Formats: sequence, C-alpha cells, structure tokens
Amino acid sequence: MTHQRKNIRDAIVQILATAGVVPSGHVFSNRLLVVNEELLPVVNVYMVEESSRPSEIGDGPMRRTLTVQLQGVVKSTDEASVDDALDELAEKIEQALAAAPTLSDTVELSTLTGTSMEGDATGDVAVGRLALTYKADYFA
Amino acid sequence: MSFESLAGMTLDACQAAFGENVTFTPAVGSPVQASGIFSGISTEIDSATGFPVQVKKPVLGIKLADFPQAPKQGDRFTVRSVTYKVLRVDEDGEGGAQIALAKV
Repeated sequence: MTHQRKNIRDAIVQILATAGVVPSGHVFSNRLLVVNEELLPVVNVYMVEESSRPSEIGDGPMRRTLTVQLQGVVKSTDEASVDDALDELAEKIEQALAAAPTLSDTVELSTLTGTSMEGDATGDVAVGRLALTYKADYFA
Repeated sequence: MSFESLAGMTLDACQAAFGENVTFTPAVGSPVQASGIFSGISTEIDSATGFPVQVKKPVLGIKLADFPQAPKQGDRFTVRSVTYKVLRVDEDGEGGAQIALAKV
C-alpha cells in the first residue's frame, strides 16, 4: 500500500510539471539529488518532516501536518539577474500550487509558510537557490 | 640568479609546456594574444539544506609579465573559442596569477 506522502509528493511533481514551471523533465523528487549546472533550472520536491496526532473520532485516521520543501535552482551568466530568476521561478511555483491547494485531492489544504534564497558565484555560472516551504494537512 | 628570475623561468617553462593561446580583452584597451594554462575542473556547490549542484570552475594560469596590464574584474579572456569574464585574480607574488573565470 502506498503511503499518502508518496501520493502527495507525486501530485506536487505532476502539478509543477504540468504548469511548466521549469522545462519538461526538470522536476525531481529525490532528496539525494545531485545535478549538473547544464540541467538547470530544476525543482526538487521532498518531505522534511511530519507531525501527527490521533483521531478525535475513535479509530479514525490520524491528522497529519506535513512539511514539504520545494527547492528551485537557477543559473545565470549575469550575477545581478539571479534574484530576478529566483523570484520568477518562485512566482511560477506559488501560482501553480495556489491553483491546486488540495494537491490533486491528496491533502485537505496546503499553505506556503516560508521562503529562503541564496546564491553562489564560485563556478563558471552564477547559481541561485530557492527553498519554498509548504505545510500540508491531511488525514491518514 | 635572483629568486624572481628563477620563478620567471619556471613560469616560462610551464607556459611553454602546458600553455595555449588565449585572447585577453581588457575592459579598456585592445585585445592581445598571450599564453595561459587553462583548467576546467568541476566542483560542487553545496548548500546546508539543499542538494549539490555541479559546476565547472575554469581557471587560467598566466605569467603577468606576458600581459600589457594585469587582468582584473571586468576584463575578458577567450579560451578555446569560449569567452569568459574575469571573476577574481589571485596573484602568487612570484610573477604569476590564477584567474578565476566565468562564462559571459
């Protein structure tokens, strides 16, 4: 039996791929991912943690709150444009997930709870990294 | 023979053995042809919480005396038909320098 977390993860990947937030084949779900800069931009979806509490109706399903991280990585030959590229990617991801708050009916509700950004210019291209944190409530 | 002279001869020998023709285009001034030792190794950009990204880290080793002016940020090099901008210049204090490059 498939854990609901996998269904949620797969749903997010499908939503982002369908919305075309990055080129086809550039949305991953692999917490051990290593990518070459030639593949950028990419988005990687993985679960961070989950809290749960017993059902309030006897043997019913537990209420769970899942923390999901969506990491987007972009590149640019112009360091000054990395922030613009990150904001553009963030907007695409946020719009795609805002249009599907139940993540294809896998959760009750998903909400963006935080965003962080960083950049690195030690290589031959400037790389920007974006981390969007979502909370998703579901019963299972 | 002074240490500087010996270091210069060593740099000349290295450039003769491993150097290749590069074009140096300063931000101000005309392009010049010179020799440089190019290295395009890969490195991983790691994040405390994110996944690693592999990038190339091109570096050009040069003898400063071969250039009309010391390269600096804003200048460009063309190596193997690829144009790079100068990210950083690390002088070794012995007449040589390692130039960190990034694609334009």
